[in-house]
Amino acid sequence: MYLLDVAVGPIIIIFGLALLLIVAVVVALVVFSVKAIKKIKAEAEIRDGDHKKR
Amino acid sequence: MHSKKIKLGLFGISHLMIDLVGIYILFYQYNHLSFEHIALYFIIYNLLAFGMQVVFGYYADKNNLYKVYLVLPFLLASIALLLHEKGVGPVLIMTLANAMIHVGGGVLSVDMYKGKSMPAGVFVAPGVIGVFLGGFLALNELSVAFYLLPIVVLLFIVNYLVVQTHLHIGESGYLSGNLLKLVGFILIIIAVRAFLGSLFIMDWNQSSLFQFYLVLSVFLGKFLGGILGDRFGFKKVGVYGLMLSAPFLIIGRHYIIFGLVGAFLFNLTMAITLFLIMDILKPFKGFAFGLTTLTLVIFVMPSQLGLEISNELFYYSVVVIGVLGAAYVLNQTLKIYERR
Repeated sequence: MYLLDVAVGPIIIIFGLALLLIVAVVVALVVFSVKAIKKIKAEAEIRDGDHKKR
Repeated sequence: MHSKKIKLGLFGISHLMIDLVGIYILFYQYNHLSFEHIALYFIIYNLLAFGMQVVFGYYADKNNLYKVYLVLPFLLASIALLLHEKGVGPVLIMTLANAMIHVGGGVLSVDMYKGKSMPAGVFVAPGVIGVFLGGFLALNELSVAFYLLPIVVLLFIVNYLVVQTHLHIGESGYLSGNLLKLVGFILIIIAVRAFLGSLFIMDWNQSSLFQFYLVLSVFLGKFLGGILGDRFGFKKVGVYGLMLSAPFLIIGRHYIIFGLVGAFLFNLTMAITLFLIMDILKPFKGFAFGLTTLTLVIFVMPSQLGLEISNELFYYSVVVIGVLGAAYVLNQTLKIYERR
């Protein structure tokens, strides 16, 4: 199934909107992941620091 | 010991069943609705089922929802099967079920065998069979929803009973050193594998029987990758397996046996990279699982949107550079991982 091959005429509107939606969702998920991983890394650094102090 | 193996088998079958039902419901409507509807459903299904696992995983890690994620998908799948001809509704329900079972089953499986990559492969591999069977049943217009329903209900009951007594011991104590670098490297390997895997051309892969052979070799690669990795080492199985897959994949474009061996070798790394990222992010194993599937869905998308490489020389170059590049990155990852 090749979406771009059929993205002509009125269908392009449907797929244009769908593609925008896909990009938006992907960006949102990537941003969520990056924030989460930074938080996880920060938590690990704090704990590693605590271990070194002891 | 036996009880752990039985549970791991049950989790793998649960994964197979949810993937089967999801793809069946999605493609069953292929024969009845217009192309653009199906295309949209396909995109929605992939993006939500695979992309959302990163969110589902993170909240499961924070709130210990793994057991819920192992049972609830079967309730959702039962509802979806009852509504299987009702358009986007049951498809959306199955995306939730799919996201949950990957995270719940994946983490519970890996946590049963600490330090082993075997359960990652044994849990994930049956999904390949589920996707193939679901597509096969739907595209052949076999109306099996009401035969699948009792199996789904049975798995709901069995999983519910199993999680009541299952003792889940998570892991903490992950290290901050090189964390971002390691996670980044592993995601690069997964991205290359997803991108190349979606673009492979096998000229012989026309009949259902040959497609089944290919699915079987992919299944065996994913299934055995972890078992062999634990036994012979990640470098020997992952890095050398990946390097060895390149010539087989090139010759395998025209010759079935080479293609099947190439697909097998190419997929050996799956369980290893999944185990590594889950081990590196330890108490966030669900999130780690989600990162891999999000990467997968992003890098499979170009092929789903129609990208294909028609120039034969360019195709071979992309395969060789991609596979060898991924092998090099995996080797570097293992060096850093072992030094920690």
